[in-house]
Amino acid sequence: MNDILDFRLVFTNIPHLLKYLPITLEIALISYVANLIIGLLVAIVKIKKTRVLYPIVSFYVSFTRGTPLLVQLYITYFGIPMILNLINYKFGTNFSTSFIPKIFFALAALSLNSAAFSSEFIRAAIESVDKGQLEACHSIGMTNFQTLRRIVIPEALVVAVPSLGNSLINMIKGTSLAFTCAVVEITAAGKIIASRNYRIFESYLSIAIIYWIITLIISRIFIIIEKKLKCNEQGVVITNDTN
Amino acid sequence: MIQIKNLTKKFKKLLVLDGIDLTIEDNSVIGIIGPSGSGKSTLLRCINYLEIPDSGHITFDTNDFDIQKATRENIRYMTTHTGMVFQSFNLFKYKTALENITEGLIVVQKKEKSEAEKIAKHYLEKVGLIDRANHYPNQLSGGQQQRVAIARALALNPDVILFDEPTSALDPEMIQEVLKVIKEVAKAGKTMVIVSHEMNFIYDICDKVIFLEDGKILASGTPREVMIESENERVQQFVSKVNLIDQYNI
Repeated sequence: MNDILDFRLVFTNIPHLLKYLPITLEIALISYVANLIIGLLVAIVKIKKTRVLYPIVSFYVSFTRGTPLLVQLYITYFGIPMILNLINYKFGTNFSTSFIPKIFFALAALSLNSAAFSSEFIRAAIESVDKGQLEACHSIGMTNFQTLRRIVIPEALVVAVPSLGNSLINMIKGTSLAFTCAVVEITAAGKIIASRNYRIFESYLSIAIIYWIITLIISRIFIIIEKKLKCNEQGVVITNDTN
Repeated sequence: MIQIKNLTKKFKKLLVLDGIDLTIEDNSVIGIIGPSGSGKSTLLRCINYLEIPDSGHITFDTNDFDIQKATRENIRYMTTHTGMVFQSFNLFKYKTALENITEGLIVVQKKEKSEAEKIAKHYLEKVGLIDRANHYPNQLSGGQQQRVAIARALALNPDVILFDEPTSALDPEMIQEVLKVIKEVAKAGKTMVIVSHEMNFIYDICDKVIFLEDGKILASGTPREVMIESENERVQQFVSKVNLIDQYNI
């Protein structure tokens, strides 16, 4: 029995793997923030239907949603150096491709991939804000920017929170593909351990447990955030008399 | 005083306002009546630029401009010197009654938070809702929400307050509490323009009434002149459907 499944190893692996947790979180959080910024910009272009940009972002969203993340990682990993080489060849410049940190490719692919999906729910969330709220802002003399910052974004956020949580969870799991860009994070570290002791199943089980716990924590956090944002559903004692 | 001359507004090909002339004297209360779709609300919304009118001329105290040549400052003057009360209240969902009122004072008028809260509380007191200051809109009844909305408009101290069917979304009991508040505001000498189907109320509190149909003013004058003595057949027909009570008490 012991030969088939070494249950203890599943847990003793975990401390070794956790050394790479900071890398996983670093990739996930940086890509996540970049994804939100790009997603918001794309959403605004889509809402405003900006003349030149609209077809470009439509193509970007369509292409990104229509191709697998793994393929996109390879495209950035091999594509960016190739473009640099091409520029060097054409213009006689001397950009070095080997000095680009490997993590950069993972960050670029993950954030661009995720932003294509985020832009859609960000757009939906912004458009879900009741027109009456905007008219109220106008009627009290707020400028467009004040309206966006004070009313539209806070209200859209409440609608977007569940999707924002989902997208962070997907991002965390997406980082497991970063090994394709030669970045060693939790999954890659697990693979290395497995290749040393040939306990492949145990290694992946350890990896799975770590991801699962991270996502459990994230979903809890987002539930708390959602409750906090829905301030109108708590707090004051509701009285029924109508004065 | 606001003087509007030859105001027109089209929605695509549909002419909604067809050369409206309207003078809003200081401290007067003007009622706009007429059938649905006659352009009443659009007229109000053009005054505070929620809708952009197509042509005409507006003189609002020192702000005198031709609509087709309106500058950003002209429009800004209109939005900041008028207040609006909506049919569907439009209170900010995630802000308390108090925050709804302080929002404009702090963000637009750049007042200190403590001063804004003092003003907001004063107006909440006026509309009888000081004990609901920390309630969110969804914790208030429709009538209470509308009273908060009126307090929000009043707190910014605009020269004119525009009421766009303020009681159409309320049940009869709530209508009374809201009309009472509006009447008090009118008595205090605030300049107001009211679009409403509450004929008795209009008759009671307005200094001047205009009857609008198909974007044109068919009759205008004192409530008695328009709602009782008008010679215009269409106006007579419309008003005859209501029983005007001479002494309307709320």
